[in-house]
Amino acid sequence: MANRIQCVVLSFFAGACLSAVAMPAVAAEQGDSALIDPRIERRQISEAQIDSENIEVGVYGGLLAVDNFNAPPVLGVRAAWHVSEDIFFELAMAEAKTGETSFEKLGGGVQLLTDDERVLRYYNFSVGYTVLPGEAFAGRNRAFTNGLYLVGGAGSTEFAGDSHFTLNVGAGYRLLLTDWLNLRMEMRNHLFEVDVFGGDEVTNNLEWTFGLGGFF
Amino acid sequence: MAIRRIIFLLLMCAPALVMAEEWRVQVADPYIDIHTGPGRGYPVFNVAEQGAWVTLIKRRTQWIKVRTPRGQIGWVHRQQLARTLDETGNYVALEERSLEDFFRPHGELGVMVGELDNITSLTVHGGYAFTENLQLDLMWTEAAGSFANTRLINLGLQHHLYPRWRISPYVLIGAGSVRVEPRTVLVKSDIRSERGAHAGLGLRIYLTREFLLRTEYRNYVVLTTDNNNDEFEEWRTGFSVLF
Repeated sequence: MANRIQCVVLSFFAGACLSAVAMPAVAAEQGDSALIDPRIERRQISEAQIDSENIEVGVYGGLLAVDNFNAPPVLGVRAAWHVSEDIFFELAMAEAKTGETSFEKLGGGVQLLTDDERVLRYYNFSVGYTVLPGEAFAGRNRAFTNGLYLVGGAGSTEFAGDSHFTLNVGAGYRLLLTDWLNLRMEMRNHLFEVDVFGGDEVTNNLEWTFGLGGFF
Repeated sequence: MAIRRIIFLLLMCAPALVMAEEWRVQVADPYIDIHTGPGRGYPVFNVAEQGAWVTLIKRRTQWIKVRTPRGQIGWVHRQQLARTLDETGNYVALEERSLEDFFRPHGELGVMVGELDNITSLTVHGGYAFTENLQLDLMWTEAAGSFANTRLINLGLQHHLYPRWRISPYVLIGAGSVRVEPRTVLVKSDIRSERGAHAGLGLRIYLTREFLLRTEYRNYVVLTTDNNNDEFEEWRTGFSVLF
C-alpha cells in the first residue's frame, strides 16, 4: 500500500519535474525564492518505516539424475523467506521429463511407463542455514558478498504415475551480484521410494542446478 | 516488486527527490560499524562517527543498508540503528513484536510431517486466530503409501485451552474431504472421494515470538457410501510461523 502511494506521489513529482524542465525560462523569471522552502519538517523514524526486502523469488535450471533413468534437464521456481541472516524457509517446484531406462532401450519395444508418467514433478518445503558468509573478489577493486548454505526439507514427487513422499538434502552457493540480484549453484539429493521395477526401493536422485533470484 | 523498479527509474529522473524519500539518522554512539553485507560474517569496512548523519536505504532481516555522508554504502545491524537519533532527537524505535501482538488477531502458516494410518504424510496449513482462544485452520495433507495416495483437505477450528502458556495445549474439530487414488502398479480401481470429519488434540510450543513447534493427534471418520464408516488416525509434528 505504502509503495503504491509512493508510486503515485513520485509519478506526480516526476511529471512536475518534467514540466519544470520544459519551462526553465518561466521559472527563472519568477525567481527562486518561491520554489525552495528552507523549512524542513522534522520526522520521527522507526525501524518499521524502512522498506524491507526479505522475500527472495527465483528460477533455476539444471540436471536431475533420476535413478534408473537418464539425467534430463530440470526447470523450477522457488520462493524463500529470509527470517534472519542465517535461516531461510523455501518453497520450490520443478519439472523434468525422463527418458527410457536401460532396460527399455535394450528390451526392444518394452515400455515401462507412458509418456505422461515419465514427467517428474516435485514440490518441497525446506529450511536453509547459511554457513560461511563472506566475500568473493573479482579483480582488485570488486567484491561480491556470497555464502554457502545447507538446505533440507520434505515434499512430494509425482513420477511414474504416483506421488511419492520425498526428502531432500543439499548444499548451495549464493553470490550476490547486486544487493538484490543473486546467482546460485546448488546440489541436492531427492530421496523417494519407487516401485517401477517391482518391489519398493529408495532412490537417490541427484540434482545440480543454477539459479537466478531477486530479493523483494 | 516491479513498482520499486519503476520508482527507482522515476528517482533517476528526479534526483532531487531521492533525499526527500529516504530517512536520515544521526549517530549517537562514538561510532557505528558498517559491514559490506547484511550479516555478521561480512567484514566491517567503514565506520560512521558520532554526529554523522547516515541515510537509511532499506533493510534485510536484521540489517539496514545505509549511506554515509561520504557516499559509502554498507550495512548496519539493527541494534546499532537503535543507537542513532532521528530528526526529532529521539532514538530510532525498533520494531519489536511483543507477546501481546499474538493475542490480537493474527495469521499462522506451517508445514508438518507425520504418519497417517502408518503412511508418511506431509501437511501444509494456514490459519487465522480471530480471538485469543479460537483459530480457524485450513489444512492440505498428502500421504503417499504403497497401495494408495491419500489427499485430505480440511477446515478446522482450534481451541487453545491456555493460550498464555509457553507450552499451550489445544483441542480441534473440523471437516473436509478425502481423496484416495490407488497406486498405478495395482489393478486399476476407482479414485474415491469422500467426506470426512475429524477431532484431535495437540500442543503448541512457542520457540520464539514468531516460531512455534506444533504436534498433534487426529482421529478421522470418513463417511463412506457403504454401511460402515472408515476411521483412521494421524500423528504429526511441524513448525509454524506467526505473522
